[in-house]
Amino acid sequence: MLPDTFTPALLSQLELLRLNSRRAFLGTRQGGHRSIKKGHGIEFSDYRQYELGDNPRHIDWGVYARSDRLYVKRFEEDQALSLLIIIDTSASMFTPVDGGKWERARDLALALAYIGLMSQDSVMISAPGVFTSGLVHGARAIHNLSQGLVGVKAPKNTDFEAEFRRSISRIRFPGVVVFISDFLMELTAIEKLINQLRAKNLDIAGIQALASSDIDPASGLTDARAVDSETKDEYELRLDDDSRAEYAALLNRHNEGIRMFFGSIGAGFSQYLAKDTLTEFVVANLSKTGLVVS
Amino acid sequence: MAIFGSGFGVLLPMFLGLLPLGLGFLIYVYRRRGQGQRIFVASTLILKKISKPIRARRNFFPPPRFFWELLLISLIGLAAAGLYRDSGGKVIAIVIDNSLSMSAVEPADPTRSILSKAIDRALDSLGGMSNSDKVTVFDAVSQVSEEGITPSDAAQAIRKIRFGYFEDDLDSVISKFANQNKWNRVLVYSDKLASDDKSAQRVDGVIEFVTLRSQSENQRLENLAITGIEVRPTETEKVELVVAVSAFATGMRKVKVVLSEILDGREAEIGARELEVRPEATGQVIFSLNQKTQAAYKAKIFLSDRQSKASNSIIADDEAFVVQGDDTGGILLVSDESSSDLGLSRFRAAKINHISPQDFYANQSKMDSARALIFHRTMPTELPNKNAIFIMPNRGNKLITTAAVENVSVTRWNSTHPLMTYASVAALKFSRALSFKTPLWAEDVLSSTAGPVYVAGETNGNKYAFLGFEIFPFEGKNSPITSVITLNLVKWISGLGDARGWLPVGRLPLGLEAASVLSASDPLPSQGPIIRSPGIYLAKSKQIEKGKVAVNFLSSAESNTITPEALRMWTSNKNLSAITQGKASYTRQVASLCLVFLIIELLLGIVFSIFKLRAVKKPAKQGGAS
Repeated sequence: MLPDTFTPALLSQLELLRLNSRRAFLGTRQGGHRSIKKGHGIEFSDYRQYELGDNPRHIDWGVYARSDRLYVKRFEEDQALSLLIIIDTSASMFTPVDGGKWERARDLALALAYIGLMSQDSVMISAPGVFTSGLVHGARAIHNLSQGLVGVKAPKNTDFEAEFRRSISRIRFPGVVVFISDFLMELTAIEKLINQLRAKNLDIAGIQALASSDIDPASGLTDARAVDSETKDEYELRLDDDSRAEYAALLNRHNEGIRMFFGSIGAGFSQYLAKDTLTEFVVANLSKTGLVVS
Repeated sequence: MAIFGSGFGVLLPMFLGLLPLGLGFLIYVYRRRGQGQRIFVASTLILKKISKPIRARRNFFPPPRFFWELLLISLIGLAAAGLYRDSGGKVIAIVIDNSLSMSAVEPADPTRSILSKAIDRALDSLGGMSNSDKVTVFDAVSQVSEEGITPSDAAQAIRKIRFGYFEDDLDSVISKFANQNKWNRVLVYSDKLASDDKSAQRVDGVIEFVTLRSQSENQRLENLAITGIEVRPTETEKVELVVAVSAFATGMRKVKVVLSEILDGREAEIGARELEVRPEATGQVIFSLNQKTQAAYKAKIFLSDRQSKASNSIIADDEAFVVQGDDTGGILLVSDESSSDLGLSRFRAAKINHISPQDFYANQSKMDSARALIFHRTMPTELPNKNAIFIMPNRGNKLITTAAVENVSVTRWNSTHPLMTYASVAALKFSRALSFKTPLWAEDVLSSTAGPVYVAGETNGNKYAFLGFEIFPFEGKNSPITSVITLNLVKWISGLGDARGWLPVGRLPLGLEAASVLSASDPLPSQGPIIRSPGIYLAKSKQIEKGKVAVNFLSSAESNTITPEALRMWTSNKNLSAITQGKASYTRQVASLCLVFLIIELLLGIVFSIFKLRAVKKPAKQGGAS
């Protein structure tokens, strides 16, 4: 069963969308995306010289008349796209406990998966250390994916980086990878993770999911002792207006740094904030990034 | 440190360091407790970069519980440091050895004894003490003053100390003080020498041992002393009075021994002898006396050689007393044979009355006036309440198990027992005798190849002897062995002194209840069973109404001034401060208070933890609205 977020209205809107890849990839079966493989599609792609055995029907006689050389037409092949969705399962995604950040990331992942499955694409979802599906296709596969993700709790004592590596090692065919995380980690750590994806020659898109507590920590408090959800370090806080303003600036700078990195590698990056609804984000924001098209 | 007029101190000041450490720790803990709500955030990555100081600088307003816990830590620190109330003065013990040897006088100053010098030294030490010091005075055997008196009162008590007729046991005294940690100083004044042997048992701490004896060879004290006196029976009607004289000197000494008879409290000289005694040796003189009842004698020695520079530093050991024995009341012979049949009419050592067994058992009140009983070949059904001899007890009696033996010879005898004095029994053989099963309260005096044939002992305040062989008829010198045995038996059961004719100073043996002085070297009043000085006393016992008792104190250890004993303990003469009882109790009181507070704190901690646990179970506020 899909989470309650997936109302019939949302599903109807998602069905109108399809994933978009900025590059062509070799697919495993026919689908709706241009492949690097030349085949028998309807869209003309290119000419090549006639070789013995080619179908004479593909000979372009007009070119022959002009050049006295035999050329055959090549057409684009439409194949299915492989979509890999990785959801960050580090402790920060589950903090605050009732903040819903993980649930929002999960729902976003399922929404993207639904879009892909409805477009005959192959989808794999991985929550490293918790759940990793196989490469699935067909609309009905969404329920299996949902079943695997709903009720997931933060894994204990797992090395996210190692699990991340293990997850992407299962990728057999390149395609699109969407990494959903809060990216509240050092830029170098982010680069290290993303470079592993780059090594797989994937079309990378990053989505930063932030909770309101990430944007405005210790809201309503002036004194607090902040405990890092991952390192368990404790840090005294005294948050007056100036401190909060400085925090916001620092966060923006951090996010800008991530955005610039993604841009430098030709990957897409978008932010899914607490104020954004799922429909708005997927339909409007992701369309702007080109990850989905209608 | 003085608080409200009383001084306080701590034994282990280093533990006071717990107080500031504890205070700092407490403040740290409370500041941590009051440092804002604990919230979990996704990451402190950005928070750490905030440049403005964000450490909580809130003012510290300690809650009431802070002061409670501060009090607890303070008490723990004070208890660990050993808080005590210092009365301001030291607690001092002064021990003055007043054993007999302390009565010695030195040739250079014959007017002052070593004891008087010890008293002077002790008084000098009191002069250096403050009025707040608490002093207790002891002599060699007891506590002389009340505990913790002022130095001036202690001086009065010290001045009253006199020498006594006893040996000191300073090793025990010093070790007892060394094991008590209530004294700041213990001053010991004695003529003993401190041990030179560093491997001796070391007694450190507060003991200050002051020896008053000169250790110079040229100034060693010499002394003459009577070290033995006794009345010996002979085979005739006479008795021998033997006096042993020891010369603790570096050369031969000529000594004159004067014997006096004490009658009605007056002394009459009856004889004198001279002898030469070798250095550090003992000589004897023997006076032959007629056997008399109620006879008491005093022997006194004098240095004959007035020309020499020889000295006799201790006078108190120059005389000794002895009695022949008191025949009042007589000895009752219970036998089918008369006294003359048994040869006892010739027996001069004691008056022996006769009664037949039938008359005796019919009316046992006849033994009331007798001093002792002799049962010859007859046995009562229970032990009489008087000293008694049982000769050849009939078999099947209820008092001792017997077995008839024949042709047995002597194997062992107790040569130190008074009953065996001068008895040569090695060659004794018995054609017929009775062997005994020795009662638990008795010991074997003579044993044969068939078991004990002569046992004796004391029980229920009376002496009893069982002989399994015949010693009668008494034949005097014609049967010297049995005669000596008979004489020894009579002496032994007579009840007024042992075979030597005198008792040592101290508690009189069982049966002697009171004594008054007839003649004593130190005319101190003496009542009751304890006699403290040598002399002749009139004593009352269970056996007799009154009888003369000679009491002596003859001790070579105390009389030997030339090679005195050294302490077995080695003292370092250090003067270290120690805890007084008053100080120690303060520490215990503080520690007890700590314990109570700790228990309360523990309970409070448990209660607070329960409340905290319940609060934690509710989801904690997680850093802002989502």
